[in-house]
Formats: sequence, C-alpha cells, structure tokens
Amino acid sequence: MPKKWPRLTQPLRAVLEALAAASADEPVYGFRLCDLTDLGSGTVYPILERLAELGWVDSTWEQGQPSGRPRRRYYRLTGLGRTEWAEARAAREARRRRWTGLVPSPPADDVRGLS
Amino acid sequence: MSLRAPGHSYRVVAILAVVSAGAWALNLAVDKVGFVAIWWILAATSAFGTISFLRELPPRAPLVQYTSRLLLATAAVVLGFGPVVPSGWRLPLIVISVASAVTALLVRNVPLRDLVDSVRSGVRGGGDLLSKWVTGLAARLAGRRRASDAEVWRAHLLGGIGSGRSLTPWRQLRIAFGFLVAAVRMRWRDVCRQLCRPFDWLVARDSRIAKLLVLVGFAVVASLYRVSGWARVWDDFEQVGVLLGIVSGAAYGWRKLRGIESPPREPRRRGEDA
Repeated sequence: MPKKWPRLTQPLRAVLEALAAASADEPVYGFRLCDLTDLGSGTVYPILERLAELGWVDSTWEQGQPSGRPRRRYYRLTGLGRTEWAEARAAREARRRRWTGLVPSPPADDVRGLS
Repeated sequence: MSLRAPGHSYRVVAILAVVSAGAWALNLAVDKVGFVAIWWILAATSAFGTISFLRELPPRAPLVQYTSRLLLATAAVVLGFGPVVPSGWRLPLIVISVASAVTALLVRNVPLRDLVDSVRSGVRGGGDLLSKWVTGLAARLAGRRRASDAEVWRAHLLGGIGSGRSLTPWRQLRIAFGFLVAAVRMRWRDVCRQLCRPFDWLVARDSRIAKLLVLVGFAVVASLYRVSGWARVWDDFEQVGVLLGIVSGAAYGWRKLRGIESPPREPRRRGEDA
C-alpha cells in the first residue's frame, strides 16, 4: 500500500527544502523561513502546523530571554520528516518521469562519446 | 507762507507719479483681466503679506498661536462639512481646508524637515500600533490551543532584529495581515477536521460500512415501498444496487483519501465456528 504523504504543493516543498537545508548552527525561525522561501506569513505558519501534526517538524523555543524582542521559535526537520520527505520527493520525481517521459540528461562526457 | 524744503516737493511728485502709474496699471488690468482677477490678486497679496508679517513674529506670540489655531479649526470644520454638502461643493471645500491647514503651518513657521519627520513618525507609530493590534487579533482568532503563537508572531513582526534588519511599517502591516490569514486558515482546518470526524469514525471499520449499506438500502426500499408498493421496489431494484455501490465506493474512497487503515480482522475462535 502506498504511503500517505501530504499533498506536495509548491509552498510545502519550498518550506521543506528550506528546513532540510538549515544547519544546527543557524536554526530557522518564522521570519527567516518566510525570507528563504519567499512566502508570506499566512502560508508558512499553517504549513508548519500541518508538518508538526505529521511529526515531520519539531520546534523549540529560543534559549533565554533576548533583550528588545520576544523569544523566537526555531523549527527543524525531525528524523522521520527527513526520511519521509526524501521518500516523497523521490516518489514524486519517479512519477513525473513516468508521466512526462523525461529521463535525467547524461553527463557531458557520454554525449561527446556518442558523436 | 513758509518755504518748504526742496526734498518735500520731490516726494509729492514721486507719490503722484506712483499713484498715476498705479491707476494706469489698474485701468489696464481691469481692461485686460477683469475685476475678479484683480480681487484675487489683491487677496493673495494681502494673504502673503499677512503670513510674512506673522512669520516674522516669534512662534510663541499670541497672535501667531491664535491665528494658526483658528486656521486649523477652519480647516477641520470645512472638511467636516464635506460629506453633507452637495457633491459640487466638495472640491472647493477640500481646497479651502487644505489651504487653511497649509497657511496655519506657514504662520507657525514650522520647518519642513520637522514637519516631514513628525508625519513620518506618526505614520510609523500608527503602523506599529495597527500591526500589533492585528497580530493580537490573529492570535485570539487562532484559539487558545495556539496561544504560544502570539509570542512567535510578535517576534516575527520585529523582523531580523539581531541581524541588523528592521521592517518598514507597511511590511509589518502586510505580515500582520498574513498572521490573520494564517489564523483563519488554521481555524478552517479545525472546523473541517471536526466535520470529517463522524465520517472518519464511520469508515474506520468494515462492519460500520456494512451497517451503513444495510441502513441506506433499507431506507431506499422502504421509501419506494411507501410510494408504490412492492412492484416499484422490484422495478427499481437494480437502481438500489447501483446506489449502494456508489455509497460503498464513496466510503472506501473516503477511507483511502484520509489515510485511515482499518484494524486487521481477528481470527475466529474454534467455538464460534461450531
């Protein structure tokens, strides 16, 4: 039975890509996520909530109380989220290849060898 | 008769010459541009003269204070009449109101930079307040379950503070309205989830789907029987079958769509077979 993944819309994929690319040294918070994905706050927060319900995303509060602003909440992909996202992306690519008939272009050396 | 100084005669001649030139110019202007234009020119000149005189006075002088207040009050009152007067009067009222306000500012001798700064700070302050209010509204709309989102959103509204990036009031306002959209979408999701719950419960087990089919089949047969008796039931029997097929397909389709897995069947005990 195929796995049940959320519908991989373009905004969802953008958020997942940004979260997957984030490092532990530079954690991602809401404003930064909006900046990285070029999406509005009205799109990003519902997606984050949906991903948190699926267990794909985990969030932690900023340590300590910063001066001059409220605490931020940092978001990161969980192990489950990383695995599922990789599988969902691979399945999506395979499906697209099957439907469009496109195969990855061969490396440049192989093309030269054919001529 | 006393002799006058020669300078006095020259002055009289000069005054006569100026008056004659003025009369000639007035005559020419009346011929060329008309009396209305003359009155406008005189009014504008006297207004500019008065403004120039008042601007020479210290800003705290009572005359300056009262004149500027009177002009500002006039501007407000005239503008207040805007919605109630006929539409043809609105443009002149707006022009008078704006002119009064500008004159008041000129009389007060407010430096342009201070004026721009005060307007800018007013807009910024108003934008800040509105953004915070909209964010608070969004947090309330999102529900108690998401109470912590209010803090997250307030932090978001301040942008990348710490990384040296601050947001303009307009950007803050756009983000705040984005929170409002997010809150509505989250609540809509909650509502949909609640609405889906009975259907999810119904299709979670095969036995419930079977009972649903029996119930629907019985209801349709009973309604057909009430209309035209058993003959109608036998006539439309295949349609009842089609309907049950559709209901069954919808139930299993819903289960698949929602990713609901039915629990595996328990093996029957030996005693039950006997």
